[in-house]
Amino acid sequence: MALNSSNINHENEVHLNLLNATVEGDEEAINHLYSQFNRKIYAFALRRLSAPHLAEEVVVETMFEVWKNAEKFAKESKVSTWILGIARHKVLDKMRQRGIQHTREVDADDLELEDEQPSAFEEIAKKQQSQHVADCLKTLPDDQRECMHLVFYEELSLVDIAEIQQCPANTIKTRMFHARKKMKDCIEKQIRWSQI
Amino acid sequence: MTNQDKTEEIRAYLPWYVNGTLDKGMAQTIESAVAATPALKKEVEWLQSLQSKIKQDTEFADIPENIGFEKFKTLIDNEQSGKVTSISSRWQQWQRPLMAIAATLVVVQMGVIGMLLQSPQTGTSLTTLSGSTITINKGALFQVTFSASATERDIRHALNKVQGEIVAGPGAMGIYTIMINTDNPINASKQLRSLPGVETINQLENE
Repeated sequence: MALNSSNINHENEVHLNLLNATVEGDEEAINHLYSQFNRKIYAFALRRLSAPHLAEEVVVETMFEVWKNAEKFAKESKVSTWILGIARHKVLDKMRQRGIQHTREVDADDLELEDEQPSAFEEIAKKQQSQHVADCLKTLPDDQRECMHLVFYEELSLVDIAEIQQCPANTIKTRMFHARKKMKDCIEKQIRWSQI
Repeated sequence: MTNQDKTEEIRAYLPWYVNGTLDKGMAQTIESAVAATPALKKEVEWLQSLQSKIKQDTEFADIPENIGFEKFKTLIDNEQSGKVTSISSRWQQWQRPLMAIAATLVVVQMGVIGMLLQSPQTGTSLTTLSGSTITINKGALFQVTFSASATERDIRHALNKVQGEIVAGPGAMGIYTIMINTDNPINASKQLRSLPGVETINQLENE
């Protein structure tokens, strides 16, 4: 399951070339970048805002910002990380403007997944449905839901997620620990209800 | 480190083992641990199933192509047409002499202002050659970011508390540039830092 880093480096190289061409005023380059990123940004924003029209606004505003600030990209991260970082700020701005409440994480004392019996995971893996997962994701605090999205939908590395969420890698690991525990508990309940 | 601690450490990396982004060495370490521990193996299988369900969610799997592209192009066209009209067309040819005169006036005006600015005082009012008045505030500039949970009300509250005003931003990374009217930037910075919602503060050198 090791990462194919040459693929990722190649992908970033392509994005970087498109960004450089955008700086040079190449219209095709920004169009191409748009087609590469619009769905990623949309999915990322939708996961947090749950409103398609706002998610679309985030796509447009993020890519406009990318076009305007392409020459400011510092090359300290991957292009995709930079773009999703901009998108995250646009999402937070939308939440502020619309008074959408940010659901906070509450620190749990116990970080261990309570039921470590292999059979528990096996049963959930067998019985969980897409709808259970979708419903349970919606119950997570914002940062945990976003983290789950970045890990499992975007398939991003720990370092990239720490950069996008602007916190240390250890915080991201803890965040995922809490998120997994809540997902497991929630899905178990959903399965039980669906069996009644 | 006890076996329990080691298992917990391994577990912390399982999501990235499943999404395939661990480096080769770490992935091999996790792989060996997973092969030797039935509980970890089952947990990995659950996470793999979870990932496949998250990716299958139709709301996210069936996103249309190039969503918002027309609006994006309109924004760019508007921005570009603003730039183009200011530098293009034949207007430029007969406007050149006028522009030169205007530029000379601006240079003279800046010179006068520059001399007056050498020792600025709080609230000094200057009248420019065009007759408009500018007030030079003695203030400190800060770059401030607010936490994800900060509301617009938190930001307004913070500005009121320190008697600051937003002079730029928020930028692409959510950075606000705030001017605070103060003789004591260190105190202002401390006060700002103590307010709810404020995440990071950097004082800028005033130009």
